[in-house]
Amino acid sequence: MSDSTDVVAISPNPGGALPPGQILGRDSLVERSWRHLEQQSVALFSPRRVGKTSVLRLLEHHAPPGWQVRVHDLERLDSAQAFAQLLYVDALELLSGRSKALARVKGFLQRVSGSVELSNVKLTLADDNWRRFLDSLFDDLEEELGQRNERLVFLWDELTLFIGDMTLRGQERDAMVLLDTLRAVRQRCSRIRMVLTGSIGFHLIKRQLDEKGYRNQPINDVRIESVPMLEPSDARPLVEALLRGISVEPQAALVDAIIAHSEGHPFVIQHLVESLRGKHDASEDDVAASLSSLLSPPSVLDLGHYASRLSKYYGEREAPALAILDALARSPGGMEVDELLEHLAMDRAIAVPAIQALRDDDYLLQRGRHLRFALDFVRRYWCEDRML
Amino acid sequence: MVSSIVAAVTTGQARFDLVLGPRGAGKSHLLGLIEGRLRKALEGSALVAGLPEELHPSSLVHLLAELLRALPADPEAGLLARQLAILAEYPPAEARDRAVGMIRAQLRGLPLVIIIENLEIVFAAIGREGQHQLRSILQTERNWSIVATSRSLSPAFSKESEPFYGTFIPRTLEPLSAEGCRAQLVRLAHASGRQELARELDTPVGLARVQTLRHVLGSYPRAMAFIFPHLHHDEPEMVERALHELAEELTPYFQEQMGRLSPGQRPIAELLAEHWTPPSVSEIARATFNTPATTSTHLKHLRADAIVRSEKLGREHFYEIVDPMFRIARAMKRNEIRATTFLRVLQGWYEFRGMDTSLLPAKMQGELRELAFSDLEGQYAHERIEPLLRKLKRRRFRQVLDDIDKIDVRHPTLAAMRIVALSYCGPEEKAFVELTTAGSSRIPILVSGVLATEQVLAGCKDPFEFLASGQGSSVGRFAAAVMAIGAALDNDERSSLAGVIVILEQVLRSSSAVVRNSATEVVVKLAVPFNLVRTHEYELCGRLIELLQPIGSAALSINLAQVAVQAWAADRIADVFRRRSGGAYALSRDLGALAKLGLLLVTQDEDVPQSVVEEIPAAFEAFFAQTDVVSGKLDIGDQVWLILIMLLIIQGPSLGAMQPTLEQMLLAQPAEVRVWWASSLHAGILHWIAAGRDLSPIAAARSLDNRVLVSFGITSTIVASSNPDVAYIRLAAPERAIVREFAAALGLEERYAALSELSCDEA
Repeated sequence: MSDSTDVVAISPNPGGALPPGQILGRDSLVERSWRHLEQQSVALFSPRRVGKTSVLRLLEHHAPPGWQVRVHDLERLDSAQAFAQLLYVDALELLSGRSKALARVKGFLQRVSGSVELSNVKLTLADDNWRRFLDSLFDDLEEELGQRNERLVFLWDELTLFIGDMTLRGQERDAMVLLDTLRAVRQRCSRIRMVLTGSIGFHLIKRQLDEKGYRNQPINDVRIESVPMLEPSDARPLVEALLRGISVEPQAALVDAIIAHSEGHPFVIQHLVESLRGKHDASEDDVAASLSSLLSPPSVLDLGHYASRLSKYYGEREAPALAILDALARSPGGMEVDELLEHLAMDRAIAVPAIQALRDDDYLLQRGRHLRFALDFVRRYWCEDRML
Repeated sequence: MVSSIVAAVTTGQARFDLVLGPRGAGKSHLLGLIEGRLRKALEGSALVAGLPEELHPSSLVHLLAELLRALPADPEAGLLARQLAILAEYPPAEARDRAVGMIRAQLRGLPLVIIIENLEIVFAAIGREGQHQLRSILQTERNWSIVATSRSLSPAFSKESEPFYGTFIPRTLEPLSAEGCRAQLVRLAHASGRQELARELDTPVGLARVQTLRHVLGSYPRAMAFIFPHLHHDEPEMVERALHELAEELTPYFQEQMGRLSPGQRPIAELLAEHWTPPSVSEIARATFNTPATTSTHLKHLRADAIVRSEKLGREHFYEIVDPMFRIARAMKRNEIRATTFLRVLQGWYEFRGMDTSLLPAKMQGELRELAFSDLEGQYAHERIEPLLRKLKRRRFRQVLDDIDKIDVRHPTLAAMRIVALSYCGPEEKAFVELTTAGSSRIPILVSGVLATEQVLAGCKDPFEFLASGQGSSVGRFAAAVMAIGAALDNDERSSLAGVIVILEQVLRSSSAVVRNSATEVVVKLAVPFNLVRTHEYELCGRLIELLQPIGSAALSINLAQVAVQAWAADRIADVFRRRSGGAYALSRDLGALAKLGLLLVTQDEDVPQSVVEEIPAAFEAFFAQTDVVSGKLDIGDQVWLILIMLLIIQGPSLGAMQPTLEQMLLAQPAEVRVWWASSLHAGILHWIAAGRDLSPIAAARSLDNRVLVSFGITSTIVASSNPDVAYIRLAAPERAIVREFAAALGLEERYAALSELSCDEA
C-alpha cells in the first residue's frame, strides 16, 4: 500500500510535521487500522512523540475508496460547544452544495435560536443543547452518507487531552456527556467511524472522571491499539532514508547502531540522525555519544517526566509503583512477576494494580509473566536519576 | 541550518528550529543571517515572516496579528490596519480562527517560515492555553515552520506536560572556542587598523593567551567585542579604569536582570556572581541561610531562565553564573570582592599581553600567586578530576577538552589534563604552548602534572618506566624526560641520562620552532642545563642545548651564562657549546648584547659573519645607554655574561677576528661604564681562583693590548703569592656586592665568602 518504499532520502526533522510520503515504518499499523475501521472505531494511544499524528496523516492519505476523512486536532478546543461547532463546520464542508442536507440540525437550530445563518457558523448553545445538536448532526450525516453510499471517519487527534482539559476546567459533566454521546453515535451510526488518539492514557482520564462520579465505559466498543516503537525491519528503511537525507552513506553497521540505541523510538531515531549531520564518517561511537547527549538534562526527551507523572496521577499507588520500577531498573533483563513480588515483599493486592497501571502507561512491557522496562534507555536514566 | 530548513520546507515538511544561547551569544545576529538567507533561498517557493524584536504579545490573536503585519501586503485584501481593527472586534476564539484564515489566504498555498526572537518570552506572554492553540494551528496547517531563539531550553519546550514538548530542534550556540574568540579579535584588529595586535594574536602563544582572557570574561562574541577596545592597556591602572568603564556599561543591564528575579532567587544569583568556582547546592544553601530544598527550587528556576548553569559531578550539582561579565559588574561595585576580581582579570590580561607578571608591584605578584592556587582546595575541582581521568583513559580526548573548556578553574591538575588531551587530539604545538602560557611559576607543577597524568594513562609508576614503555604523547614524553633528568641527578642514577637525552632528541629534533620555544622555556625554568653541567654532564648538556631555541627569555640567558661559567671553570666549554648551536644563539635577535657576545666568545665560531662582529660595539653602546650604570645594577644574567666575557678576554688567545673590535670597544668605554667592566674582571679573577684553574694565564695576560689591561687596573690588583695556585685580589665594596650575586648565581656562596674575606684582609 505504501508509496514510501521508494523514498531515497528524507531530511531528518525531529518534532516536525512530515508529509505522508516521508512517514516510514507505519504501513502495517495503518493497514491494520483500516481493516479494523471496516468493523469498528479505533483508539490509538501512545506516549508523546511516538508518532500518533503521523499515523493519522497516513490513515488520511491511504483512505480506501468510498471513505470520507475529516482530521482535527482537538487540542485547541476549550468546550463541548466548541467541539460541536467544529463538527458543524466539517459537516457544512462535507455537504457543501447540498441545500437539503442537515435538515435535522437546521430544524434544531431554528428551535433553539429562532434563526439559522449558514454563512456564519458561530453557535451559541446553552446548557446541553450542544448534545442534542450533535445528535442531530450525526443523524443528518449518517443519512446523507447512506444516500451517497459512503462512509466517514473522523480522525480526532488529542481527544484525551481535550477531555482532560475540560475536566480540569470544571466541565467534567460536559466531558462525561460528550463521551457518552460519541459512544451512542458509534452504536447508532453504522457509516460513521472515529479514530481517537491521545498521549494521555485514556485510563487516566477515566480515573479523573470516575472520581467525579462517572460510571460508564465510554470506549469499550472501540478497538484499542497502541502506536508501538518501530520494529528493526520497519526502522531500517527510515534510518537509511534519513542518513541519505544528511548525505551520510547508510552503512549497515551505522544503521544497526542507530536502531539498537534508539530502540525503535522514531523521535530518538530522528534526533540521532540529525546529530550526525556533517559527520560523513559517523561511527557507532558517535551514535552512542549522541544518545548520551540527547538524554542529558536539559533534554528534549524530558525523561524526568516518568517520575513526576507518578506523583501527578498515581496517588496512593505512587509508592508501590516506585518500588516496582526501582526493582526492575536494577534488573536490565527484567523479572518474572512472581520473582518481583517476592523480591519486593509486597502484598499482591497492592502490587498488581500498580503493575497494571505502569503497563498501561507504557512504563513497563509485559510478555507473558515477564516484566521489564519498555525502553532500556529509560531504565538506565531511571537508575541514574534515582541513584540506584 | 539554512539548508536543513530549505530542504524541509521544499519537500513539504514543517520544521521547528530553536537557537539557544545566553545573552551575548550572538543569537539575534545569527537569526538575522538565517532570515536573510532563507528569504533568498525560498523566494517564490515559501514566504518568510520575521516578527519584530522584543515582542510581548498580549494573546495568541495579537501574535497572529503581528504575523499578518510581517507578511507582504496583499493588495486584494485591502488595508491591513482596517482588517486588524475588525479582527479585534471578535471574541478571542473567533478572532484567532479568522486571523489564521487571513494568513492562509495571504500564503496562497505557499509554505510559511516564521522567524521569532526570544520565543520563551513570547510563549510566556501567550500562556499555556495560547501555546496549546498555537500548536493545534501548526498541526492543522502542516506547512508553517518556525525558526526561533531562546535563552534556554525552558520547560515550555522540554517538559513532557507542555504543548510544545519535543517540537523544536534545539541548537545550542556553544561558547566560542579559543580559536573562535581569537578569530573575532583578529577581525576586529584588522578592521580598526591594529595590525600589530592582529599579528600578536595570530600566533600559538596569542591563542593560548586569548584562552586565558576567555576564562575570565566569558567566551561569547559580545564579551570579545566589549574587551577589544581595551586590549592595548599594559598599565594596571589603565586596566582597572577599563574594567570600571565596562562595569558602568554593564550595570544597568544586570540591575534589570536582578530586578526580574524573585526575592529568593536574587541572593543566590548575587552569591554566584561573586564566585569564580561553582559551589554545590549545600554550599549555596549555607551561604544564603536557606534550606537545600528551597535553594534547589530557586536554582531550578534560575537555570530554566539561563541565569545560572549547572554541572553534575558524582552526586553533586555545582552551579555558576552563565555570563562571567556579571561577576565583573558585581565586583567593581563591591569593594570587598573587587580586589580579587581585579587581580584575576589582571592576571588574564597580563598573560594575554604576553607580559611577565613580574612587571607588577611585588605585593600584587604575591597576591596573584595566591590567587592562582586558591582554587586548589575546592570540592568542585576535586570532583572534576576523577571523571576526567576516566574519560582520558577511554581516550575521549575531545570530550575532556570540551569539559575543561567550560570550567573557569585554574587548577593545575585540570590544566595538565587539558595539555595531555590536547597533545593526543590536536597539533602538538598547542599542548607545548599551554605548558608555558600560564606563567613561568606554574611550569614545574604543570610539567609534573602532565607526567603524572600520562603515567596513570600508561599504568606506569615513574618517568623511567613510562619512557621505557614507549607510550605517551610527545608532550608527555617530553615532560617525562625533563623530570627523569632531575630524578636521575638527584638519585645519582647517571646511567639512564644518555637514554633520556636521546628521547628528548627524538621529541624535539623534528619539532616546529613553536614547540621548541615552549620546550626551551620549560627546560630553562627547571634549570636542566645548569643541573647537568653542575654535575659534570657536559656532553649531555651540550646535546640538550643544541635542541633548544634561542628565545628572548631572561631565564634562558641566565641559564646559558651559568652553564658557560661552570663549563669554563672545568675547561669543558667546547663540549657544551658546539659551534653550530652557539653561533645560532649568538645570531638570535632575541638575546641581549652581552649574551650574544658571550656566546660568540665561548663557541669561537669563525663562521659568524663579520657584520655580526661589527655590530657588537653599537649593541654595547645601546645596551649601556639603557642601563642606569651609576645607581642601578645589571640584571644577574647580564652580570654573569660580563664576568665570563672578561674571563675569556684575559684568558687570551683565540679571540680571532673579534680581537681588534673588542680592544677598540673596551678602550672606548666611558669612565662610568668602565667600572662595570673592571668590577666584572675582578669578580672573574676571583672565580678563576675559586675554580682552582691554572692562574698563569692571568699573570701572563698579555694577549690584549696592554693599554686595555692597564685601563682596567689589572696589573695593580693581582698579586701573585708564593703559592703559584693562589692569587689575591683587592675588591672594592661595590665589587664585593657584584661578587656576592655572582657567587649566588653559581651556587658557590660559601667558597666565595671565604675568598672574598681573604681579599678584603689583603686590601
